[in-house]
Amino acid sequence: MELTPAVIGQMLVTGVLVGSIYGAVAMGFSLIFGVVRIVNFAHAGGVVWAMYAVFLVTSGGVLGPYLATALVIPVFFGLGYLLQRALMVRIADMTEEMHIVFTFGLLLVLTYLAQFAFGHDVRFLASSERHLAFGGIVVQREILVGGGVAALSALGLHVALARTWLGKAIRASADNRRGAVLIGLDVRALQRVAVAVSVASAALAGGLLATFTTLYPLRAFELAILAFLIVVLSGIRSLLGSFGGGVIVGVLEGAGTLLLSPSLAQLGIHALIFAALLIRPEGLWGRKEAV
Amino acid sequence: MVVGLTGAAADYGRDALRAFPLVVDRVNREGGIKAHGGATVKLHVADHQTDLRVTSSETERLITRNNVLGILGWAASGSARVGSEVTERYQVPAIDTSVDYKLTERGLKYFYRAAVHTRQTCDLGVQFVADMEKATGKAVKRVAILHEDLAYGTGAGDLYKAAIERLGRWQLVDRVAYTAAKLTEATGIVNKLKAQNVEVVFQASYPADGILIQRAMKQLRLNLFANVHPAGAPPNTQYVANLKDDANYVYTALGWTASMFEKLPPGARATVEQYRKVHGVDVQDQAGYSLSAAAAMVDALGRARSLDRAALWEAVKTVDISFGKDPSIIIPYGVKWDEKHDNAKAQAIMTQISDQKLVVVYPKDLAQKNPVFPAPKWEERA
Amino acid sequence: MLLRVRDLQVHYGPFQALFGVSLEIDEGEAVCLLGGNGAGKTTTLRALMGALPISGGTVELLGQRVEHRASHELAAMGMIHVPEGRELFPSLTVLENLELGCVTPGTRRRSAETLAVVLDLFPALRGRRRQLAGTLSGGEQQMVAIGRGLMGRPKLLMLDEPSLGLAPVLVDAVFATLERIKAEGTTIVVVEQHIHHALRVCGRGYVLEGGRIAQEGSTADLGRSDRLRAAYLGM
Ligand SMILES: Nc1ncnc2c1ncn2[C@@H]1O[C@H](COP(=O)(O)OP(=O)(O)OP(=O)(O)O)[C@@H](O)[C@H]1O
Ligand SMILES: [Mg+2]
Repeated sequence: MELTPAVIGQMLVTGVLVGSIYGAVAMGFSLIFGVVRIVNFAHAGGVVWAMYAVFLVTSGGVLGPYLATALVIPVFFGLGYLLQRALMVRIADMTEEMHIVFTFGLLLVLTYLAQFAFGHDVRFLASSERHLAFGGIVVQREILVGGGVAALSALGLHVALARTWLGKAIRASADNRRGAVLIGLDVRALQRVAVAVSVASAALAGGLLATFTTLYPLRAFELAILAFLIVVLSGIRSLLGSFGGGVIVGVLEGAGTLLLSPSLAQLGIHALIFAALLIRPEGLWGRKEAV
Repeated sequence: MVVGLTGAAADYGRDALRAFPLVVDRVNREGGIKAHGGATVKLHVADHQTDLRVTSSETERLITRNNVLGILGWAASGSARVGSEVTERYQVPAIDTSVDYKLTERGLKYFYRAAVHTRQTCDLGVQFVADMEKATGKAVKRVAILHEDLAYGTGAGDLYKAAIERLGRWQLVDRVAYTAAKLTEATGIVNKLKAQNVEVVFQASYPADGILIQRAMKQLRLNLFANVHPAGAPPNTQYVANLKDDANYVYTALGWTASMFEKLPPGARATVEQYRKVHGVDVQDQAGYSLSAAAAMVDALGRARSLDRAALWEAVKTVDISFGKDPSIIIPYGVKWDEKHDNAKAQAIMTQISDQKLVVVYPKDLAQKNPVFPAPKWEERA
Repeated sequence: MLLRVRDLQVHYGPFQALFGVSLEIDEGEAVCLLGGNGAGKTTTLRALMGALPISGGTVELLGQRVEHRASHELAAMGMIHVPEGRELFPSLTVLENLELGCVTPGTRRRSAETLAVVLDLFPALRGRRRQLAGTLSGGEQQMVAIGRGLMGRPKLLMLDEPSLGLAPVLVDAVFATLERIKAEGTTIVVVEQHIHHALRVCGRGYVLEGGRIAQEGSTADLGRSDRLRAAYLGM
């Protein structure tokens, strides 16, 4: 094999961009876990439904996929708000095992509903056929935009959580929920906002994915596992960490595909993450808890 | 008959359910089995739900409760593997329509396969490229195998590898396996192939990943002499529907394609027309194989010395029906078993996508067009 | 009357922790809540703050019935709680912890101003604004907890053992602070084990025992009480 700069560059650029979108999927997952303490496997179901929503709106022919995504995001924000209000609060006091049973069940329901509604057929948005080519590297426009938007939104969300009072309050209620209640923060409202933002981020990730990848209901399971692994890898709480974890997974997948084999790379990511956890149980970027 | 009417293989099962009765009804309409006093043929239908346990129990139920003489099935390779063990145990002759080449490598006595199987489609792919190389003088040096990593793709990969090694002329530079369900984008895979300067890719994919890979080949301008599939993604309607002109020039070897219709003998053509009229859908390969299987079974019933399983089995062994004679046979060139109980007369055909349609390019007597080899470079396509 | 509590009852599951606690607190007063371990002091404050379900009794704040309001609604009315054990947000900075005390939009608008006051009160925090609260010393954490309460511009500040775990010098400092806060007109309810300090700052007090008010009165009277000695000193 000739590992020319172009070949390696192609791998790295695509790996980073696709990894950014993985990161965007993982980010919302980690947000819910951080704030509501629920491992929300159904997050990936949201991503896939957003993909279908964007697909349906787009195939109407009036809106392009990006406008469609912009339309779907607020709808999903609302749905996330309702989800927290109606469902998640009910399970909040249950054990973690029950959370997993519940959200995994929800993922199944979402997936089967998608199968019921859209069938097993593979859907695919028409590609713009535009590419950016430089130095022998060719990047599809959709992947470039997708990776860029995902990175910007991760940064935006991070800044919003770090700088705004609402963001700080959300972090505070994740950090010490009882304390937050005792000092008079409206923790339930904060949780609703956090879940809504998370589900909206699923919509964003789904919209971006829909522009360049194939769409079928069972993709939800793959994304659920991917998001879970990334979040575990990056130390479950940190949002930017999750995003970074996504990028790393994207690059590793690309490198493994190029140097070893795609099958091995896809499997290897999982193995690698488990290995990483053996060495650093607190995740890649996690600090060891001060006792 | 036992086929999957629900579950993942339901598409195939439904095609079989459309095809089997067509043959049986025709026989009954024309006076039943003459050798047995015009006995009518009764077709019991069971659904294996694409579930291995259900396959066993439903096959057994047909044999023990409904006392069937023979089994037509299973229209799904996994189910055929399990179901044929049941028919073997009860010594019931079974004619199957699944395509996995491994099914007939187990030395079963009562199991026969009417379908064109994956060894045929893979061998034809390699042989076809070798022929084209000779015919056009375009020497092929570097080839690669690319396949999904479940039973279908891995099996095809093995077969391609064996065929390429038998031929012994080309350098097999890489064999790339990927997990279809985990594939988000395919430029990584194509980049890898491109880095190795391959000229021909033998590829076994499902529709979703097949589409992603083909798009990536265009994006990275991976210019190949030929991209050859064993059935797989290209015959699936979604493949062309999504890729449009970018699907052009892809080769796929298969048992049946709708465009063969024009070249069919009159009887077979009438069968296809009737199928379309009754069911309102086009004939797919599974339906074609099912027609062959049912015709073979009916033929054996007509020649069986008595109406019991042993006699039927004796008759099944000597089935020899031909394309052009039996109107139910629409897959060239008929049904006759080889020593493995594969259908020696079933011939894979090579098609190439041209103007977004699968067009037969081989064998000559069925060909509608000449193959385009090597495929034009991406940069030169309109 | 700022706060009037009548016959407050609280259960933890089947276990009854409060058996009818009644309190009356006037505007500008400083009142202490005394009692031995497990007497129900923390339970009383948490129930008043809307953080525990109330199984009986009424609470009136500023003339409004509030016993079923949530803590954020009470905080918005000016009832602010400095909880037992500080309950800071350890992975947020000191500054962020303080800012989160501004639970209403109104207090948020004036947060810069309030912050200056709080930092004047606790100059030790000034240089530690960017430090994570979890890494502060116990005394510093207590300052942040009180400061966070003050950021909400309380009408009624309820402190649960603000001197817990502090060195004597720091205990003095905390009570000096409480005196200043009181002097500025804020009503204070304080749960305290250091009875002498509590009695010095507060004009009145209640003694809880087994979930009931065992005694109430001016701090001068309570100071002489045998009962209180028994409760605290085991005599
Ligand atoms: N979450 C709980 N579940 C069950 N019982 C509780 C709970 N919290 C407190 N209690 C019980 O309620 C009673 C009153 O507790 P509370 O914390 O109010 O006491 P306290 O007066 O604040 O004591 P201390 O001086 O030790 O802080 C105790 O008997 C305690 O065991
Ligand atoms: Mg207490």
